[in-house]
Amino acid sequence: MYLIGILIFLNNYKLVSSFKLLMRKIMYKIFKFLLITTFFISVSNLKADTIKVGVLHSLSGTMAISETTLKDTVLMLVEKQNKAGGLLGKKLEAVVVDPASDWPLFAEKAKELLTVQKVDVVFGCWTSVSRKSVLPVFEELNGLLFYPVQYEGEESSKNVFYTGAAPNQQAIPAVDYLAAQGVKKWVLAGTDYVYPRTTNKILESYLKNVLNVSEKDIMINYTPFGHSDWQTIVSDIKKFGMAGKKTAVVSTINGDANVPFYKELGNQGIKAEDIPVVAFSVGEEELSGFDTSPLVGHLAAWNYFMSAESEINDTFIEDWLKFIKDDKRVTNDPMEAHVIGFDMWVKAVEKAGTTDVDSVREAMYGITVPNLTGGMAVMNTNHHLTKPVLIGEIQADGQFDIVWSTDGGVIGDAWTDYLPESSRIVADWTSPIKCGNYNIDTGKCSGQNYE
Amino acid sequence: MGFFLIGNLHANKSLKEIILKLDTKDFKDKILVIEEIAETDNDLNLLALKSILEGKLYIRKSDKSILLVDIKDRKYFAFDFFDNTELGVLSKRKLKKIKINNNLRNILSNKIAVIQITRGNKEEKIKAILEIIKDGNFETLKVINTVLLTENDSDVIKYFNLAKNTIIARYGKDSERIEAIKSLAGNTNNDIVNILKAISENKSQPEVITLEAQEAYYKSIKNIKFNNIIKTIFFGLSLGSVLLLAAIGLAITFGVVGVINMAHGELIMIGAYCTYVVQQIIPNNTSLSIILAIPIAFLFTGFVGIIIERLVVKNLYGRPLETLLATFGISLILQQVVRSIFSPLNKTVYSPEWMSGIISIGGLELTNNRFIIIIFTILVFMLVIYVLKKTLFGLQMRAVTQNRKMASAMGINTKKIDMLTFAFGSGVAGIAGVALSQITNVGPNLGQNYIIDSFMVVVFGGVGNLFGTLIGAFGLGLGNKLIEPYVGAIVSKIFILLFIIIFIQFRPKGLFSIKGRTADD
Repeated sequence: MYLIGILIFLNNYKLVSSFKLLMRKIMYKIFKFLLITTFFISVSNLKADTIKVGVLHSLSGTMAISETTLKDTVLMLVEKQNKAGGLLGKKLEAVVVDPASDWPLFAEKAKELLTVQKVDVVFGCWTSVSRKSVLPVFEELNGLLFYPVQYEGEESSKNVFYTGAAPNQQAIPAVDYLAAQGVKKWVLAGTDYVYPRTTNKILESYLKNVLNVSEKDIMINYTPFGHSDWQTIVSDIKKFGMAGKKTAVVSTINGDANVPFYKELGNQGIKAEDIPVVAFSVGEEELSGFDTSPLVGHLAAWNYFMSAESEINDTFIEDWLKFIKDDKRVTNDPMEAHVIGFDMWVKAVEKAGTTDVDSVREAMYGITVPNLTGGMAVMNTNHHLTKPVLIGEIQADGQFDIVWSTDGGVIGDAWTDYLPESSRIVADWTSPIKCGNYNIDTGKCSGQNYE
Repeated sequence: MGFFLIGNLHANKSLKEIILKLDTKDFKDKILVIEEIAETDNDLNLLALKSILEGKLYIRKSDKSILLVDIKDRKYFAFDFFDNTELGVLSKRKLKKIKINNNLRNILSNKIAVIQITRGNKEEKIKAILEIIKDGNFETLKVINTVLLTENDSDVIKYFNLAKNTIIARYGKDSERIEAIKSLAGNTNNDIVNILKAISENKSQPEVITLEAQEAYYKSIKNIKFNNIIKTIFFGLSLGSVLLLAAIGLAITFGVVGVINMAHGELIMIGAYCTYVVQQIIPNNTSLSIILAIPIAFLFTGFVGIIIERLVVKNLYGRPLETLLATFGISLILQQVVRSIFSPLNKTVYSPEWMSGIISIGGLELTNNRFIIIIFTILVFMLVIYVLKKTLFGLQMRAVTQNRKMASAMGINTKKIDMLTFAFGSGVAGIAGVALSQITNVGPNLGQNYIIDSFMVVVFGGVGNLFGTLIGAFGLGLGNKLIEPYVGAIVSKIFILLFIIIFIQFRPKGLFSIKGRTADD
């Protein structure tokens, strides 16, 4: 461009015509060269065209303990799919970013994945605050997010498929199980952010209205991320639980704060037979590298445990250990959620014949893939799965023994029946409703992006 | 002899048949089988119950033989239950574990305790009797009396009498009950307190007994309340000791050298990682590795401190803002270096035996690790004071703090003292890291959790004054723990910060400030 400019400039000065001729020849040569190179680059780009799969999980910070293994899971699934011939004739390419447990950074990285890297789908997020941070980005840019973690519900976005448990697939059955064991006093302990706050709201309402627990038999308590001084709280739990009525702790503590919490429980001698703790965000991954013998008998509620007895689970674990080249690694529920989400996405893309978000979304409803506990997972029109509920007790080797499970799958309910406002709302992204939060009394669709 | 063997074989066969009944999914059925095992006339029943409780009892699918399994590194080492023959490593698929749940655990502990009050050794007997105190009845009383006839150990006798009195207090003749209740008054054992409460609320008994029980119950409650106050103070002291450990190093560098070291938290983190590395090198002996880690962390972190001082801080003396920025940059670099060398995930540091569990003082139960850390902190503090007051280096440090120009005129190489002081402060931060590795997660972000607290303590206590730091740390720790039961962890932290902000308005130099003309420099 500059050369042309200079040429025109020179023209005005009526330079020697032979010089001009020479310049012109050089310019043409350069042009031809650029044209041919651009052509080849674009052709090779077409040939190396891949389908990009974004991975948005914290690889550092307080949530790294939980999220790093999910990044590895997606990488394994992408490699497996590529070995099976790719998708729509193209290879899959994983694009990994590290939002570092920093919620605003999650939104930035999501935008980067969608606009700069131009990924066709994103598997990511763990904490609800990270999901809430990226939600506006996905809705504005019409991206597609598969969210693999159990959460508090009260959401159904057009651009998100929730492959983790809603409260009616984890929290409520866990409370029912404990109540059946004779628990009369409840401690709700959580990290201070949206997921524990909302889940505890739902549980408080459930305990008071359905199980008729009185206010003084419920103790609610919040701590910051990464909290490490649990002395007072564990001592208070001990006091609360020693008054004669059977007490249990429902824990929505997230991230590495769980490690000193369980250590303190062990140190102060709180045994699972006396005051059982059921956790919703603690699985095999959070317990690995930890001596769990003082924790034997404490519980977790999930839709999958590594100890689930099924052939498909055995194969999955074998493949995983081979991929990660470390015999000490474990599998857990959010990993299964990514497996289900990924398989469903692949099936939907094949059904739709394209990776275009709107077409894939339409193709997702009703898609059924096997889950890892021997049953089938179905994607419903509210963007939630049908999943079985399992309650497991911690063993001395960091694994869980399944002590209770539902017979079949439970359909995920995005809007809980136990909060008065939410009980009147349904989510259904197919006609005629086509809305994530549709009020069945007023017939109005409101809140999040709709249409 | 032969007759005995045959008798044994028969007993074993019937025990085996009972154990095989545990192969069911119904947990209620399992309860009945457990009770059967507890009652069979076979000495191995105790072993059976214990193995089920520990999750070690398995059934081999092929021949229905009963096995004891030890799991090491995910390999299943099997032994025959009845004759202990070693069967080597078996495949997980060939075995069926006898599973239990929390309810069963309770029942198993109970049954084991009942058997162990007659059969166990001293600790087992005491543990057993405490376990079944709340369920004691006339049957248990008979057993207790039988054991007491032949028991010689005074501790065992004491606990058995306690259990005896508990049973008499509930079920005995009215005349005996008052004596029994009187003997239980003031006891803080949770089960006994609940029993006293239950008796005091019983309407269908003579007035005398109810009153006696109420008095006994109130005495116990008073003792428990007193214990709780001591406990809160203990928590406050332990939090204070953590704050102090983290802050001493900063008090030294800030106080003497006048450098705002934003990388202080990372120096603590490096000390914690030193502990991890030492544990990797000496994996089998956690006690030795922790003790060795202390001087190693001191030297290594001190060395890192020297590097920081020589390369960066030396050039920025007298320019506090630049030092702040530069050391902040160093903290980021250190974090990333650790992330790159070790991985961003947390590392597990193991605690030695003597640091886990509880110590009981009277009726009070305090956690071991916190107790040891309080003592450790005091030792470290005394060491630092000793270095300051009794060594030549300390003398020179104090001189430079009080009046740099005069100290220089007296022949002290102030630049060298600055470097050594910085190194000393960093080394102490490293020692703090070793202690902190025992109570919190060891990860690249460890430093970030303690840097704010360290500055808080140093500013509150008074810059340059170590006793100020001591009082400040323990004061803030106690304050935090006194408020926490009422408002929760987050709000109590906020209150403490607000308190410090307001305090600083009135006393900008902190609690104990250095007096003298040079303090204004």
